[in-house]
Amino acid sequence: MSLVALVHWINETGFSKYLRESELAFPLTEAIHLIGLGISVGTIVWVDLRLLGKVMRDVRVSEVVSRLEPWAIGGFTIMFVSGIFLFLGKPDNYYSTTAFKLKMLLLPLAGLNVLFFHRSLLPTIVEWDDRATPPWQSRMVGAVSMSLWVVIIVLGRWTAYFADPLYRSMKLF
Amino acid sequence: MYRVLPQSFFEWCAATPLGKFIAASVWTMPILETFHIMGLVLLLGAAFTLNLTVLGVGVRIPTDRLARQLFPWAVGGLLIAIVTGIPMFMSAAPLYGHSGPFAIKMSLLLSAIVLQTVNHNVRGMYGSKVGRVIACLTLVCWFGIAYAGRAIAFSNLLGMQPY
Repeated sequence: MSLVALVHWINETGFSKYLRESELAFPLTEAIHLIGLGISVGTIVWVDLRLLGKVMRDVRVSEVVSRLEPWAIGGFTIMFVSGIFLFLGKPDNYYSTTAFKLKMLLLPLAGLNVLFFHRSLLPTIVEWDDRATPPWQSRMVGAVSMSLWVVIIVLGRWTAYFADPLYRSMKLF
Repeated sequence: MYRVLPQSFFEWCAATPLGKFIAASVWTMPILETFHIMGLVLLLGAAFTLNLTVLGVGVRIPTDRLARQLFPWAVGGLLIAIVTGIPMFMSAAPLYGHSGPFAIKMSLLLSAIVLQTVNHNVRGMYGSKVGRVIACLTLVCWFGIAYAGRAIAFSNLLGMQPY
């Protein structure tokens, strides 16, 4: 079964139909997705800014990371699960939306960035933990993370617009 | 909102060149909304981190010091949200004026701003019991704002009727 066929099959399931036709399910999922975004990216931004040496310069980096990361992970989980439900609600529409494809391309990159930070930079943190401005590799991780999330948020918002049949019918491109 | 402000105000908003321009434009609204969400993330993140710290579960450094650093970012995020929110409101003011979630959002916004400012500016609030209760309430307000904001765009969100 090809990917398109699979997506279309999901689109025609009763659950998918329920998600998009129910008055409550889709809006509620979107609201939860947005709140998850506020919690996760909202806290990730502060870790990034600390890595860039812009805020909390007198607080150890490990302190900021260890205290905020659980919230970021919690928020991300909310966002991830609700995001899957959003996709299940309108798979056909999202599959054919460019903004959505780009978003799905960038999300793993944000993950790799975090992985790189944990694998390669955190083990040496004792050497630069209390530095106001961390070494360039860490600043880079902060900058990459912030840029990726800004673009992902823009693409997320645009996905909602351009997956919408009304906007599509306007033939903007 | 239509109960506290005259209908003519909402109609005037929508009739301004700005209001008419946005209502007629395809691209302006998505762009404004995109920035609105960015402002929201900045604001929610700062307010979340700050209030969690007041509650003793955030970053373990003196709250006053953290607050001094986070507060300007929260204000910045709020300003972005307000600057992008006003034109969005103007484009369909009479509609928003009659929207229940919009009225709830504005009430919560006012409460959140007042509560957060009181907590921030009254000496000794951070670290006190009252300060922690206020931090809790403020958090509920900020996330309620995000929820009600989303509800404005939909016909029915957990019993919230838009019009």
